[in-house]
Amino acid sequence: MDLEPDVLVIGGGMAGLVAGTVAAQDGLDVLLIRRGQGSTAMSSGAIDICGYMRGATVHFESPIEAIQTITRVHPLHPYSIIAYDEGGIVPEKSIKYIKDATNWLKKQLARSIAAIEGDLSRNLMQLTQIGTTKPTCFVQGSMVHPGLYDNDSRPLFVGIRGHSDFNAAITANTFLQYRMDIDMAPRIVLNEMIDLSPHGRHHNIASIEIARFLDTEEGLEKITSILKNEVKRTGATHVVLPAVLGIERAIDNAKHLSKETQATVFETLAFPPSVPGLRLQMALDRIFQASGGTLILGHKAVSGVFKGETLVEVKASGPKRKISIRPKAAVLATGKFISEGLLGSQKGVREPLFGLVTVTGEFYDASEEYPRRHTRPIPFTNRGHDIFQFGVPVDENLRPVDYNGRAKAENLFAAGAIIAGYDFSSEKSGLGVALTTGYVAGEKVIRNIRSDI
Amino acid sequence: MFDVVVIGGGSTGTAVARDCAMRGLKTLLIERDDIASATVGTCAGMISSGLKYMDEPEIVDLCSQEVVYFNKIARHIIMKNPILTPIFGMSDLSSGGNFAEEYSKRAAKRQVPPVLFLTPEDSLKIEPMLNPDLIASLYFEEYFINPFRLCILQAQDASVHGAEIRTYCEVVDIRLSNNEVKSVVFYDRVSGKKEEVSTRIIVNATGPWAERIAGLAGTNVELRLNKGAHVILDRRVVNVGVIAKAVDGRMIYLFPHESTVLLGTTAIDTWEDPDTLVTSHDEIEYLLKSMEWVVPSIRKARIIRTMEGVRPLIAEWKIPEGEVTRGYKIIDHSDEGVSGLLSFTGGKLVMCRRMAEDVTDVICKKLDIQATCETHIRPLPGNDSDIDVVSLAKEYKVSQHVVERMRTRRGTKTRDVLELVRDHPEWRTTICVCEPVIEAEIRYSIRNEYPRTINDLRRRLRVGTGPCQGTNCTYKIAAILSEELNLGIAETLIEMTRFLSERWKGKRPPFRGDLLAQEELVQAIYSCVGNLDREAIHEPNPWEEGL
Ligand SMILES: Cc1cc2nc3c(=O)[nH]c(=O)nc-3n(C[C@H](O)[C@H](O)[C@H](O)COP(=O)(O)OP(=O)(O)OC[C@H]3O[C@@H](n4cnc5c(N)ncnc54)[C@H](O)[C@@H]3O)c2cc1C
Ligand SMILES: Cc1cc2nc3c(=O)[nH]c(=O)nc-3n(C[C@H](O)[C@H](O)[C@H](O)COP(=O)(O)OP(=O)(O)OC[C@H]3O[C@@H](n4cnc5c(N)ncnc54)[C@H](O)[C@@H]3O)c2cc1C
Repeated sequence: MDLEPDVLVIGGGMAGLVAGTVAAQDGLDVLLIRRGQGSTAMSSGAIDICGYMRGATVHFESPIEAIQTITRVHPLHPYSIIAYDEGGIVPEKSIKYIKDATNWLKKQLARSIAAIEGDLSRNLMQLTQIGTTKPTCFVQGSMVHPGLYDNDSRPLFVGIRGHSDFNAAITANTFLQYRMDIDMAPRIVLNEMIDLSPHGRHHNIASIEIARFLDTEEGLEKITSILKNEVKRTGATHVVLPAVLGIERAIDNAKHLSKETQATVFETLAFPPSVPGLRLQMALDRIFQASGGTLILGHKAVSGVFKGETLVEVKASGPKRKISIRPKAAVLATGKFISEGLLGSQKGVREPLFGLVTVTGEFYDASEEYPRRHTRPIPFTNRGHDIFQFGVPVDENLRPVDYNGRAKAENLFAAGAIIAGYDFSSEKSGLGVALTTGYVAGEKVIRNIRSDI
Repeated sequence: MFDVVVIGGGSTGTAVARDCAMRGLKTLLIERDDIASATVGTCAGMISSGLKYMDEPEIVDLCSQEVVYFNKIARHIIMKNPILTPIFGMSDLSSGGNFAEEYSKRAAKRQVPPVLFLTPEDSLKIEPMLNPDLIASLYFEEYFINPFRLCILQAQDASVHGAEIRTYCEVVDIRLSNNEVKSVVFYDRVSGKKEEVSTRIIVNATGPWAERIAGLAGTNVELRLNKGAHVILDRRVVNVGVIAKAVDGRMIYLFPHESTVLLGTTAIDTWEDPDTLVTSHDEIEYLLKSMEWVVPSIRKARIIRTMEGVRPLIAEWKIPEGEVTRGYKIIDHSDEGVSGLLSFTGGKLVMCRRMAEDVTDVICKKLDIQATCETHIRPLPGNDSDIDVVSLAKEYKVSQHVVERMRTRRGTKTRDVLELVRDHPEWRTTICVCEPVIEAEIRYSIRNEYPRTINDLRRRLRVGTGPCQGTNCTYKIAAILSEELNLGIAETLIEMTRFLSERWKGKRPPFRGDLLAQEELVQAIYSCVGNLDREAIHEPNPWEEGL
């Protein structure tokens, strides 16, 4: 099969879908191929912009502050690269892009199953599944918890029997301990275990099963009556749940439950398999398709053909067929190691699809850098492992470059976790960088095709 | 006042404690970490007939006899595996013949067939992954034991017979009076307090640390310390064990184990602190390169991790490691003028019961006690009779696979674990999916097998040892442990990073391929979402010094 779209997007996580949607909304014919789910679907579903500087122990109060610092200190960070203007970095340019991208996303996701709240002026300290808190910027509507940190707050942590992801007692106490350490409210936490067995089973209950159950009338009624009783019995002001409030109806369910129980009912940030991550992924897929984009699932891009400085063809293979795609321009958004956008052997790190140049966090050639040498003996430090800054280097137009800093092809752009120069785990910046670079790549592609630059 | 204080909770120390207790001696076992936390936990678990030691027939006899005993007292934690030794040259054929003869002499007693010589065709039928250039192969069978369970069961049996077991207690001094041992001073790492206990006899069963412990009494032990490393691969690259010649002519092996294979081992003389050792890049490549000749597909498998240990060999020098005797020695330090202190050098896992028998005989003689050894007759806990996995699985509504795995750890005690799900049906939940292990067994183990950490649970239950290396279960197990042991909150979070750090120790040396994706996931879960990189920094482990 031969296809000739305007734009080919390879990889369908946050970065690829945003780039594709932006281009499709401009009227371009966009084809996105995706091998499978990547990091986006596994994520907690809350969008980090930037929580920490690598090496810092204190988090940024706001993403704006973070960008101002990063653009000064890390000139090759993706947030800095997009701020290049006439040879220098203009932090405001980066901030503007991030503002545009997040405003755009907020609008796109509004009324979707993953509608988000939050703004760039502050980082939220969001409660996680294990009771810690982490800085993030935008959370889904089912995760907001106004008043949780007020003096009279009495959160009730509710676990579900047989759902081992969430231990309400330990999570509650971890949270309380943390608040006590910084001498802040709440000073009381409660916890309870409830029976919700979606299939009459009391063990091996997965988050997704509960979420599906709560999408049904029966499930919602059941949890409503249980939580009503619990709140009445305990006088709780908030009900803290694992992220299981529904796939299609989580936000409505949270609202409904809050109204019925008279307490704020919300979800914590989840570890994979994460229902909110799935909601985000599904919402992005739908928006892309609603914007006119074509999604081809289960297909892996396997090679590219370049003519001079142009990418002319990408070959892909699916379960039953091989396809050839000849786009006008392409966006590479294949993620990092998890999604196999990058591969590492004992001898070095490479980009398997186009054989693009890969670099270390210090922007040296990574093709012959033993991965082990770019890790630390201690896995959890505020500096992360340098290996996770490895990636593909790009120019200010987000075009992957060769060793001389020249674009590999004038019509090939990159977005998301495949880009070098940042460590999302250490910085808490994953979906933010993917969103922003995806948004910028989308605009660059439009300009590339419309005005042929 | 104790009759005997045993220092060291490896295979040797737990066997000694068991024997002493069974003979009615008032016994205390002191282990600085967890039971089986050191050398024994890094070994292959082969209770062999002694292929490598054909030049020492008395050792071959001893090992063969021990296998017979283990089959009696611990059959639930033992497996028999077929092994092929492919032969690629005529010279290897004749040494193979010698081995076949020695092995076959003792085969019937050990309930294994004699060695068979196979044609290339038959060899490849049994193991198609072999390099087809072979000219013949030797086929024989060996037994393997779960070294962790052996030590735990020996320690438990010791306490059933009245011994006291103290883990997380480090011996820091041995006090003498008139050149006779008087007491042992140890530091309890959990309470943070020092304690002193008086005793008549001390058994130094600290493996590679024997020199240090002997030094506390002003006495000497000399060991030849020799590092050995293993690489664990994520699939059954082969379905039978393979023994082959390495790049330097030593013999190495590839043993299937559950859904993984174990590739080992290296042998490097070492003077390092055993606690700081990690497998080197060279060791990994040495093993892969060597086995690649015999099993060409080996590099297609994914490396799960490496593990390393130090053999406490008898100090014979100026010969290769492989020629050092596999025997053991009991050193009575009264020859040096200090009485009441006995130290081990040498030995192997397979000999631990016998080593214990010998030393206990010496102790009984010293204390003038008449009691005979029964450790080879009396079963270890859980080995009293057979169990019916299928009907247990049905009765308790737990999958057969889960019950079968449980059986290999605890035999007849499996029912005690399953009883817990009567009151707590939710404890049927699978917590470690790789192994798999259900919540009930984790709770049972915490209540009955004195673990203090997730790593201790790993030794008892194999949680966190599969392909995901604890990525998906660490936080769940930490919560259960925290509830059962009433850990503080800071401690609970640190327990997660500490366990993942211990796993990282074995993932970092072979860091390549899927390990990169997996570590990205670990960081994403525990740092990006969990924020533990900022909130749960643990004290560095000995091998972690220097960032
Ligand atoms: C467990 C986890 C939790 C996280 N939590 C958060 C969080 O709470 N907040 C946050 O901001 N960030 C979080 N992150 C980080 C964030 O998810 C990632 O940084 C972000 O999703 C990267 O997006 P991406 O589009 O670049 O890549 P991905 O989402 O990984 O997408 C890459 C896509 O490319 C496809 N692909 C790869 N190769 C090919 C090929 N050859 N052909 C076709 N398709 C291909 C893959 O199948 C996949 O669909 C988390 C990450 C993980 C793993
Ligand atoms: C790579 C490798 C593979 C092997 N394979 C096999 C095999 O397949 N079959 C076989 O039979 N043998 C094998 N062996 C040999 C076997 O593992 C060892 O000989 C045996 O396990 C040693 O047990 P141990 O109890 O003497 O020592 P250890 O297991 O090291 O126990 C000593 C204990 O003493 C404790 N200790 C140290 N200092 C103190 C202190 N101050 N206070 C309190 N406690 C202290 C330590 O924490 C440790 O737990 C192998 C060895 C290696 C290294």
